[in-house]
Amino acid sequence: MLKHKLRRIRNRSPKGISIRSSLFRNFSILIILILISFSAALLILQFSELSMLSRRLVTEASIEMESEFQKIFQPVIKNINISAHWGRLKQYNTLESKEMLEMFIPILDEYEYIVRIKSSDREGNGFSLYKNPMDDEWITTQTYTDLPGTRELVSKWDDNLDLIERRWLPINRDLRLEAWYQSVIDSESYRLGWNEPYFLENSRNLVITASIKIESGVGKAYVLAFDILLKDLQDIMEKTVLSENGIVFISTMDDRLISISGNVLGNLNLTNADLALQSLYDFDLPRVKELLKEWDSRNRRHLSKVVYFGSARDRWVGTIVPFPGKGVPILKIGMLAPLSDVMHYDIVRVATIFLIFILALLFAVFMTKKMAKRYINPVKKILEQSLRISQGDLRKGEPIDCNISELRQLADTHETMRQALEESRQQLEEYSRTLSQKVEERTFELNRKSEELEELNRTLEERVKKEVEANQQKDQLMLRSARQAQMGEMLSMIAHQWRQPLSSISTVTGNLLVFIELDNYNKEQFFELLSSINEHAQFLSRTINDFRYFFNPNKKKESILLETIIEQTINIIGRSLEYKNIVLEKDYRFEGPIITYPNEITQVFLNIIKNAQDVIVEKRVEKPIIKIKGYQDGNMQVVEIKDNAGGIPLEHLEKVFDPYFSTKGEKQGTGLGLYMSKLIIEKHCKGRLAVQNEDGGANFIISMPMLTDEEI
Amino acid sequence: MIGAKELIKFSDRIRILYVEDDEKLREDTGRLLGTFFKNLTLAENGRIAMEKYKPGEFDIVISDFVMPEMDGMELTRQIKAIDKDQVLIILSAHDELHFVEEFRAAGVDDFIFKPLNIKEFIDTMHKACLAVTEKKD
Repeated sequence: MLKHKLRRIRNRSPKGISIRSSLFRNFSILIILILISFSAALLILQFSELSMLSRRLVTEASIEMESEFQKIFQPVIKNINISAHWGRLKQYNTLESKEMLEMFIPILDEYEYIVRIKSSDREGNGFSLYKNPMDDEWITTQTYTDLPGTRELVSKWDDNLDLIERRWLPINRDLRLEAWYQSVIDSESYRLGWNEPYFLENSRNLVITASIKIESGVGKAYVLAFDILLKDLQDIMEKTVLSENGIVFISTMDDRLISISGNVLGNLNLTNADLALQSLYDFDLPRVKELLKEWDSRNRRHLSKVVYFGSARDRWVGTIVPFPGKGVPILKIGMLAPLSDVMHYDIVRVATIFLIFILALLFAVFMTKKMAKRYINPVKKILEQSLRISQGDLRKGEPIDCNISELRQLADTHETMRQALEESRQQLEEYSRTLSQKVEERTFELNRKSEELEELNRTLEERVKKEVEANQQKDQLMLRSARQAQMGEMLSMIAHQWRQPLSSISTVTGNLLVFIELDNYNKEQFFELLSSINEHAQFLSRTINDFRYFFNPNKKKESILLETIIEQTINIIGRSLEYKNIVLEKDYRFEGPIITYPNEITQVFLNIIKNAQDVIVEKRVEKPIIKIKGYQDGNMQVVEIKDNAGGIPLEHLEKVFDPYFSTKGEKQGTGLGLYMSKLIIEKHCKGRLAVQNEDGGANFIISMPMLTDEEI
Repeated sequence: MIGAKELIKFSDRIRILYVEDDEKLREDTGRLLGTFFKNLTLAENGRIAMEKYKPGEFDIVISDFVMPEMDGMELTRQIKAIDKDQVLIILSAHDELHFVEEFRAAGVDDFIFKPLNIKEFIDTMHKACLAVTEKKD
């Protein structure tokens, strides 16, 4: 059966793949994806690395240059602003301009690059501020064209100056100056302009001049120029080259060499001064030439790009940066280095990454295997055990150790299922083994029970009867003693009822006797007196009838006005109350007759009134009053009997209706009066009898429903 | 045995105050007393009796025992407080006999019991009348 089911389940389920292969497949896909993305990232990284490198070479250089110059010019310009407002500058004559230049000395001292500062007007009149190469002191001169002595002074420092100067610079200095001045004066104020490099007068140092225009009023403008040594520019560039074998050079736009890295110069046994603006093709600089060639062949427009050149074994990378990079370039700055130098540390990094990657791969494979084992082993075990169970072997299998929650749950559920199966099978076996025995036992027990029941049935009736009889007897006794007590009370009441009429009768008859004895009587008087005796006798008879009626065991229900019952009660006890000087207040009105047991109700009223009377006498209440109040309350007719004897003590309030509860002592009370009253009202008349303390007295409330004949 | 004729001799001389709360009884007993004594005053209770009572006005005071407002005992005490020689008779039921000693102590001279025995009544009244007249003489 079970096997069949299992087969059916197996047949129904789709042919999936094992967890192991699923895991492996997923992992391999993941690994391949990681591999591809890693390789792609690496490739991109490699390329971007190179381009970034070159970009850095270029931008670092130009930025550094730019910032260096900015550093120089900003405070200078600022200082002009501060010290010489345009309004005042307008009035400067050339002499004053000389003084103005001298203001810059402390600022320029900070910048070693600046070797000369000069100012000039359109006519070329102006001043120059030289740094004396001997002692680094600043010398103020008239513009060099007008100072014949200057050349002689400086030529002492370098005799070859003229020779060198003529090689490159235009001979007509004035013209050149005019052109330079014009280009600057045409530009915007404070816009930095650069002229072509030239040799500083009387020296072998190449300078470039950065100039700004200063307007000083209508039609009048000055040009302020700063000469900067180019060898210092070379120094700045050298700093940006990363490789030891790297080369930095500065040339004019027509490839005349201004400066080149020290290592190259060293190889050529030259100094920078030896270059002297010769074409770089005149020197043995194969790599530089290759770069230039490559550069030109590519005809790059965007100059700040990197080019690769050289043989496969000796690959170089390089770039050419124009200077200053804005507007028309005036210089070429070349940077080149062997690729191996630049790439060196990258290869190490790539290798490291690959190593880590392979390790990660191995770890992943290892983890996959381990994980698969973790997943598969418990499932396998559960499967084995299931198969075993399906073949009917319900013994406990090898415990399944697994910390994967779903599998743990599966294993636990499986184990619970197995236990339940085992248990139920054991139970079944146990049942089948013990069933017949149990059936026998049960049958025996049943027989015994039924016998017992029969016996019980036989005796039960008898016992119930006995119990009922005993109860009845008890009730009878109780009733009898209550009745007897009441009889005693009644006798006392009768005595009171009769006291007055008997007195009257005896008095009147005595009087009649006196009349006879005195022989002093008339017929009318006799008639009158005898009639009154007769009336009294009638009253006596009525009273005794009332008592008799009350003691009549006639328990028939009647339709009767409660007023009538109250009156009958007063007929019995009224005199007794009067004798005790108790005022009886009556206030009752009912809407109609009620079907009830009048005698029993009378008994209750008597009981309550008698109790009130006893308490009043006992407590010697000063102005004793008993109030009888009657009214209709919906479907109920209510009679309240209230005294003013201080009420029932709280501790007694709940017990007054208990049988044999009495506060009067043995002689006077039986303790049954109120208990009987409660029985009569609640059991017999289906009403309610309650008591509560009210206005310094006890108030007994008798409520009776207006029921039909059948309901009572 | 003293007869009615002996008692009626005191008719003019003896003044009576009779106190009884029950109207019927007051009427009946009043009639009986009126048969013997011409000078008879009736009172409904002790309080009214005290209003009517003045020392020397009445020779004999006859009172019921149980009365509202002021009973026979209290009346006795008050009258005796005014005139300790006042002759006072209590008209009472037999079952109130247990108060006799108390009444005696209060100064009551005699008792007449209800229901009335006419012979006893005449006898007691006669004795009282004699005592009063003796005192007067």
